[in-house]
Amino acid sequence: MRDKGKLLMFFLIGSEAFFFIALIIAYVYYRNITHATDTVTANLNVPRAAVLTCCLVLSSGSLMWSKKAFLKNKTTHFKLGMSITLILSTVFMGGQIIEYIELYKKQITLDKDIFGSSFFTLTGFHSLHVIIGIIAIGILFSFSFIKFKNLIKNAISAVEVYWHFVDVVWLFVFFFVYIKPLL
Amino acid sequence: MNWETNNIHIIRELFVYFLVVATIILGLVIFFTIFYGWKYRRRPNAETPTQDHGSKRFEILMIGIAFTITSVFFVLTVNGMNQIQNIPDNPIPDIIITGHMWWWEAEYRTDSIITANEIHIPANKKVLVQFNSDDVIHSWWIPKLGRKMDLVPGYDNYMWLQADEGEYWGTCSEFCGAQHALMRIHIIADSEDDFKIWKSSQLKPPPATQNPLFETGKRLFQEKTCISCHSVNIHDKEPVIGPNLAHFASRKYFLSNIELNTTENLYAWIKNPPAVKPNTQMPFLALTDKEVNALVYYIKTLR
Amino acid sequence: MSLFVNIAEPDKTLPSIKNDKDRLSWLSSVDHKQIGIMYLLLSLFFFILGGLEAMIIRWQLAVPENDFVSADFYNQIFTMHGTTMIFLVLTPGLIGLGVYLIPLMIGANEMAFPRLNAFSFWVTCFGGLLLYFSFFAGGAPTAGWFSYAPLSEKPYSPTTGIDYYILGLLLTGIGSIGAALNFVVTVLTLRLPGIKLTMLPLFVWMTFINAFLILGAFPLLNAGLVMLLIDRQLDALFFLPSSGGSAILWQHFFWSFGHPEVYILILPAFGIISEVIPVFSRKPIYGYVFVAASTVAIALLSFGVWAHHMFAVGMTNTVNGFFAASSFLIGIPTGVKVINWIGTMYKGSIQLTVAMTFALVFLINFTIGGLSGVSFAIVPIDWQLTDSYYVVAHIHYVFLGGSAFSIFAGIYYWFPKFCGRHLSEKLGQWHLWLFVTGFNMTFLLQHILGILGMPRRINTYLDLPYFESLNMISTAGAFLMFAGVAVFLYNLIITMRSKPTATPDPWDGWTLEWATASPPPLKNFDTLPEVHSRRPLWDLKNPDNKDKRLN
Repeated sequence: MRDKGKLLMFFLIGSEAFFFIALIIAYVYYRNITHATDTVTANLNVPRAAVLTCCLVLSSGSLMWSKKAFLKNKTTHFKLGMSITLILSTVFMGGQIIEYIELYKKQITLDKDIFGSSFFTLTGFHSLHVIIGIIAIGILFSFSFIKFKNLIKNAISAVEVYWHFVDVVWLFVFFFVYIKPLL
Repeated sequence: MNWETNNIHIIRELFVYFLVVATIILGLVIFFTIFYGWKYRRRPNAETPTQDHGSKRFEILMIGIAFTITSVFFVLTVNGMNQIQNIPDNPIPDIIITGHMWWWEAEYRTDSIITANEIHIPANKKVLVQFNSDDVIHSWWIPKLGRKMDLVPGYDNYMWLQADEGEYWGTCSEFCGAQHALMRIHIIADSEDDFKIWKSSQLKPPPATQNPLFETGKRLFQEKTCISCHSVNIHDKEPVIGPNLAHFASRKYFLSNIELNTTENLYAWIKNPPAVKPNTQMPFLALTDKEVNALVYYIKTLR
Repeated sequence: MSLFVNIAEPDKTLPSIKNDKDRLSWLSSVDHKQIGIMYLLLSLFFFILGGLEAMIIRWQLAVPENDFVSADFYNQIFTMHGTTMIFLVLTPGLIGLGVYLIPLMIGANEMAFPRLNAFSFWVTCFGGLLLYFSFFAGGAPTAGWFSYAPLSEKPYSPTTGIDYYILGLLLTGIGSIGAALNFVVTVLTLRLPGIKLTMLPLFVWMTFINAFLILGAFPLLNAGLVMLLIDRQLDALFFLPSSGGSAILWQHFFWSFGHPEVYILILPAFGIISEVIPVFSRKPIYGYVFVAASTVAIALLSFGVWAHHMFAVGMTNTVNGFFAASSFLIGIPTGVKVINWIGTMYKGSIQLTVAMTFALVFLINFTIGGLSGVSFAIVPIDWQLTDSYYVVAHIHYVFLGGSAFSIFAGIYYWFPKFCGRHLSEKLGQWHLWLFVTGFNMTFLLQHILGILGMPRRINTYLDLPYFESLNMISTAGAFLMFAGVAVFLYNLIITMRSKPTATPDPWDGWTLEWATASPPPLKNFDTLPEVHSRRPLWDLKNPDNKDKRLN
């Protein structure tokens, strides 16, 4: 029998992809019809976002590495990989929070203009997915201390697929929100 | 006068083509469903029919026929569409119609006349109308003149309007809230002379009246804050909360054309607006009978 | 043999609702058959509610300038009628049939994820209840089932109705996505060895393809709903044109979900018809490959036709032309199916049971709906008739004459399997003819009302020529439908009180669900035949005239 969990996760993220496509379309659409956005995009901290992007991409790599370690039954490597993933993703979330705080200090809020609405909704929903991912990875990580035997490959590979998806969504967000206005 | 390009005629023609083809197809489906259902009904001791799994050639033939029919209709569609919606690149509208919850504002651009609900157009002449909305989405539809056009806030839509002499009715066709059904459209297509007369009468100030009731009404119109929603100057675009009432008495109907413009109706309306038109934005002002009388008198002088 | 999924429940017969002790077990059940039945009951419950709302609408419109209900209440009622019928009747009804039948038809003993299955059901159920709770929380939504912004925004709809609408739809949407995920994985992983994807019964195939449509379409609605909710609750500006938002974007989101949704509600219905007509004609489906392939074509095209709902918003002719072309194209695979169903009847041996008659009535009525649908691809006709009663007639011919008739056909066909009892054929005939006559009385003339110029969603109209008589006939038809449904409910009740007498295979069917007892035991099958063709039971019953072996 094929891996049902992984299959389910594939279709689920396929479905989620449509959700994010809709949010990205909204963001791009509003950026193009209003002129105010370009002045506002100047307020985004692109270099920091680039560093955060690297963090998220690396965390995908470390998760892959720890899954490989799990398959080879290398407990320590697995734990190490998982903790690196957790640290990197927490750094990413921290960076996002700092970004939000800075924007709020500049009076750029959800209800100020259409840029605020679409920016916070898009990145907010992405962050929500990151948080869900951190929780899922956290659960797997804590399982590795309490009952390592109960950890199953299916759960890890499903979370891995999900985490890669979150990563890829961020790359698109990063491109459309941070890079595109600079081009 | 070029009837070939009139909206409703193009639509009617296309609809007749469609109806003929659709009737034939529907007739065939009904015929075969009933005929087969009857002819091949199960008889006692019937043998199992031959297990026929289908024929590729027949299917492809059918798809071919369907494709041909739809292609023909696609060409007709594109043709009709281009004839009806051929708006120049930088359109300069003759009339700008703005939808409000729940009434229609019309601005005659060249004469900067602002009026509401009763909209006059010259007959047998193509008039370019610009549509937009002040609040939610409304839709302009006069069934006899063909094609509807949505009034979308934030967008300018354009449409050619052409009509024979006469009066035309319609209703807002995009659901726009509580009074959607009562947002009626009334178009009067005047002959060239009548249109000129109408226009010049709109541009003239209303005849002066020397009557104490008139003076009271005029004063009350200011004091009771009518003026903050309704203008009585034909050129005023602001305020836009209520219809411009300049030359109100010249209109045949009021309240988005749901009530005849009579003294009694007007009285009942001003006395208690929500009772006449629920959810209306016009407030109940608790006016005395005398005050209402004076206001009605004043408004009725705005010819 | 790993034919069976391991499920925790012991191997006992299905708990009965008559058995006091087991009544609670329905609440905690993860059995696909019980969940399927609960879906159908949910659908029936909301069908009655939505039907009563429809009666209020028809009563209000029976005569011109009626004041039976206020404009505001009328708007709540028609909004709830549309939302209920689409999200809480047809969607759960078709999903329920799928949940019950798909494991049986592919020889599995459970859905792939039984708990997800239960979760999907309960989320849908609570979504529906939340939507209806709005009546007690300051009024139901009043912006129509497509809730066009900016009318659905806070300044124009200040009551909480729209918020309940958004939350209710998000929940039912999540439920539908959950069910779709389950369908896809079930069909991909739990098929009896030997059943290839090309050998699936058409109902399974169409629900399978349909699941992909759900997975693609519902997230788009959810995204739009979330934005609307953020607008309303957190003062964002997505759909408020006065502050830089766009009134049109909502329509794009809604219809890029909404049009696939139309097919989501009709594809499984096509599947039911493709099961019922062959069995009662004693012939295999005519052109299986074309019926199956046209489903895929419809699914793909359905994502490219949405803007034909928006021809009147003032798009350019190029855009209009593109969507007109795709809308014409999607008519072709639909037509192919109708031709194949008629082809199946050709030289058959047709038994006019209630199920089969519903299928035949479906053929005719759905064709009317399909053809009037094509007239909207002709852009100038759309410009004239969109948002008029012509559209109301069209959608009812598709949803009621199409989806609902086929659900009825499916219920009469599979009822022995579900409950071990046959619904009374005599009462069934009464139900059918009352309902079909009433349906055509109500909606056929509405085409004409639309052409005469009656806009939709109006709570009152002027006494224009023909308006009163046409609307009166329409209302009279609604009462006939009402009577038909009453007969149906009576039929359900007396049938459930009778003794279970149904044999495992009362219709001499060909698909695997007829290879087990009626109703099936908890683990569905004791033994399963080997499957080598699309009609395993046909091969079993006719060893000397087997279908072509496909594996």
